[in-house]
Amino acid sequence: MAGIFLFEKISENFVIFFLTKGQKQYIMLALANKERKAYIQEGNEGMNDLTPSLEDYLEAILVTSLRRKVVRVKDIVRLLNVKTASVVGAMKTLAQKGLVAHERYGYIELTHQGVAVASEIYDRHKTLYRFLREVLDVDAETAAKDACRIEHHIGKKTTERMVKFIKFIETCPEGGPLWLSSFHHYAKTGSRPEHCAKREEATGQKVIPRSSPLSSLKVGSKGRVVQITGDQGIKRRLLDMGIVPGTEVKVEKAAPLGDPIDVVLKGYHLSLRRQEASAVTVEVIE
Amino acid sequence: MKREIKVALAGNPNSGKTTVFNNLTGSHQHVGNWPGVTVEKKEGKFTYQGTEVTVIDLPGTYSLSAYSLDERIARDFLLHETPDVVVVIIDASNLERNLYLLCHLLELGTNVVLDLNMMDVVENQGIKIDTSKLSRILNVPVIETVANKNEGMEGLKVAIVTAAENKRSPTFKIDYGKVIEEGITELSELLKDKALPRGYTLRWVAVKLLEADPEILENVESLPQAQQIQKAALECSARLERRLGYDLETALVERRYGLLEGLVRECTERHLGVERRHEISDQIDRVVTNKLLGIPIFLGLMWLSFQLVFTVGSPLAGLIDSFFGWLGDTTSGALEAIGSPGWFSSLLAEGVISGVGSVLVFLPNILLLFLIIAILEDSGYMARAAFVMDRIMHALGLHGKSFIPMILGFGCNIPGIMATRTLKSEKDRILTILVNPLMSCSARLPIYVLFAGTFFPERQGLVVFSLYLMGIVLAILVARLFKSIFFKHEVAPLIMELPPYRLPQARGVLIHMWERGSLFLKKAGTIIAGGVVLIWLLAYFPLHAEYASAQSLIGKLGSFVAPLLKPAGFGFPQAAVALIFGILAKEVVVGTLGTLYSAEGVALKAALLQHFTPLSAYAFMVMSLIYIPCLAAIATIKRETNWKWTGLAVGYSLILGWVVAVLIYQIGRLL
Repeated sequence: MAGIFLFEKISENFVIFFLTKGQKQYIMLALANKERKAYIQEGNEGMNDLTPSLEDYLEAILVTSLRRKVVRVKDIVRLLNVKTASVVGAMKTLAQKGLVAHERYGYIELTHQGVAVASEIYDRHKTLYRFLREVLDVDAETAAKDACRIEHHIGKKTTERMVKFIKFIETCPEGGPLWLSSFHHYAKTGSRPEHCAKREEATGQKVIPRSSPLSSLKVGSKGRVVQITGDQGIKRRLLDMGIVPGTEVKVEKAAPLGDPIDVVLKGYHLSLRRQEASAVTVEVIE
Repeated sequence: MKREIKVALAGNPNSGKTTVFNNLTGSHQHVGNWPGVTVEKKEGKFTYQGTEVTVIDLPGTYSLSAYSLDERIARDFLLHETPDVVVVIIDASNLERNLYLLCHLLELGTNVVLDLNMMDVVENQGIKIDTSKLSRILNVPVIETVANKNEGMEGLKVAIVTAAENKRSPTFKIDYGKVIEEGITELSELLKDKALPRGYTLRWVAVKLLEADPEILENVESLPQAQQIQKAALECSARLERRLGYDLETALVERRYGLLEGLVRECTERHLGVERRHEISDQIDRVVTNKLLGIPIFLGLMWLSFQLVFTVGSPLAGLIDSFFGWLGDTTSGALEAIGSPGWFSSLLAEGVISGVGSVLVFLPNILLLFLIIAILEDSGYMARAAFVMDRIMHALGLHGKSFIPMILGFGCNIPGIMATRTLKSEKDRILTILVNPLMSCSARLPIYVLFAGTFFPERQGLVVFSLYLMGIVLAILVARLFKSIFFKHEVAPLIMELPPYRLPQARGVLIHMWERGSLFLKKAGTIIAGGVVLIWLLAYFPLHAEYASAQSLIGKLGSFVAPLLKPAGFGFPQAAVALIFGILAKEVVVGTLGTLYSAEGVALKAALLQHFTPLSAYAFMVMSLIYIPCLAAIATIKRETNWKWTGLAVGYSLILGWVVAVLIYQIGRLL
């Protein structure tokens, strides 16, 4: 049962919710609705004064360009479900801002600056999605939709804090008397309170929910490395190859006879037998 | 004044290290083995503005921990031979993981030049690397190169020579974070006044102690107060681990990668672009390692390689063979014409010339084999072959890559054994070598054809097939047995990079082929030629005895051995002599029987029918399959391992062959 048990306005712009779900406590940041407008302006400083819809367009171009060789107006129309005329209009505005080079034949290309701005927006989007999906356990569809809505209204600082917050929850999931202040300390210094590590040891409880051995991940799914166990030599080999806590790994495919598997991490392919992969505990992302 | 400096090349596998090496040294290279092991060691030279530079190509490694043979070799070399400069060659399109090795070298206090290779790929991916920033932060010279287009090599040479002059040790430190740094400081304090082994830096030893590096722990034992240091290291690690919530080994590696991640982010700019190479590579993989197509494609490629090595190679080998046959005949004819003694012309013709010929006859197959292997390796397919086949080979206690040597063994065991060079682990390599002679090579086929045709004319195919199958089954059993005896506790994990596909460079492939081929000629050649001369001596002496007749030494040896073969059903001197000659080369068995029975073709078959029963004929074929690898194979095994393993290969196959032949004959008689 989830329920809000505390509700505090910590500044002009923020409201904080404390939630409980089962044994776990989560906090949630939200914007006080009234203050939204004021915040947008503050948060978007140096962001070329983009409207939310322009940001959506930039993001859409970036995402498409990651998957395809060229981006066409048609692609954006389809992706965002808007009219061609609106896309063309938006591209003009973005071109004026120096973010997009809109060429003939309906091809769109981001400028260097455009890539920078778009990546920042996209990163924010991903972080927000993770926050909603993993911390609040919102279903994937809602998380994606809501992440889109929030993303235009939140600045760099807040994003960074959110990433830290997610990390903090991962390592110190159970609250303590000074939980929030511990987080603040962590956000500033990066060091966690001692009891977090201790408790992990004492209870032997897996800190991260939904963790499983890498060997049992399905083909196509992604995970983040939590810990590596196993034989000295094998463990060291895995670590040296970049399988360190926090690394994102994707099970790309399995060999024709089911073993070994091909895992993508840090931009390269690594093949391991399931036996070796079982030494790696991952937190399932998707 | 001529200066001489020593430079080592270090880098990940597939970083283009060998191409850089080839570019730097051209044809001035020498291939040998690292002392005590069969890992190739390449050395070369170039001169730049009066400085003579010796370049040593270290084995490709991902790190310098002491767990794998290659890493130990690289690490020992760096620690003990102290090269003036170490060039770290990096696949710039995969910066983060490639830089990890650099971390270790910097920690070791090496004078480093960083070579960002494959810059063309980086450009195609739309990534921009801020080289000067990278150089500034790491405080090492950074050079950009495209080795396979021979670009940037001059710059690299300048950087090497300059770095050797400056002789500076790196200032860059990995910040392990407050908690771990405290531990490092603590241990450094403790080690401060001790004479550290081999001039390691304080910090490096401290870090390695925290990592519980087995070699350093051992080294520390020789220090005064060793116990105190070890105890302090243990306590310190335990304390740190409690505070970190991770084990220290993980924490240290994570820190390094964390730092690299930041460094890479800081120094690269990703433009909008498509990762074209990776995309193409992934698409190829979708087909090549496909669930349904993966194995057929692999087998198809193997078939193709097999065809190339043997179908293209064998006519060439035949030409060489007949050339040496002609040379022998002409020489002995010419010698007799000028009245030289018979033993001399026989020694020259049947001994020396045929000895040299029997070495060179393998050359076409060997060169073709290495050509294909070099292409498979350089293109990146070899790793996929291992990926596809590992499941099966692992069940046999071998590695995925062992499959290729086994397949090649069906053609000829020599290339099969040579192909085990692609295996990284000692255990896998030795096991694969030991069982390779059980793969029935093509030289044994003439024996099967003769005997099966004579005794089982209606079931020839089935009989021959049963022999091939028996070889495979025995190979599996023997591999498992030897694994449990000799390598009980060894684990050879499969943790293998699947590198992006690349177009092999003709030059690199050819150099590779020639190097390995000439190694075969030099090392195996001497043993083969020597063995041929020895057998000639046995067959020729004592004087006045007819060549290889019952009165010759070999004939006497045959009569001596024959009773031992009785339980197998063919206990007569002719069979024994044929088998002894068969050690020269298995196909010689048929010819020898022909000589001994003074019959050929139909007459030979008739002679065989008098001496053998179908059962003893089958036992004889089994014996020919299993007993002692041919001389060339023995020489190659010696070349690739040592006398101990060679002795085992000869010994076990002889015993196994005899036992199986006897079992078949005796059980067959009961039925």
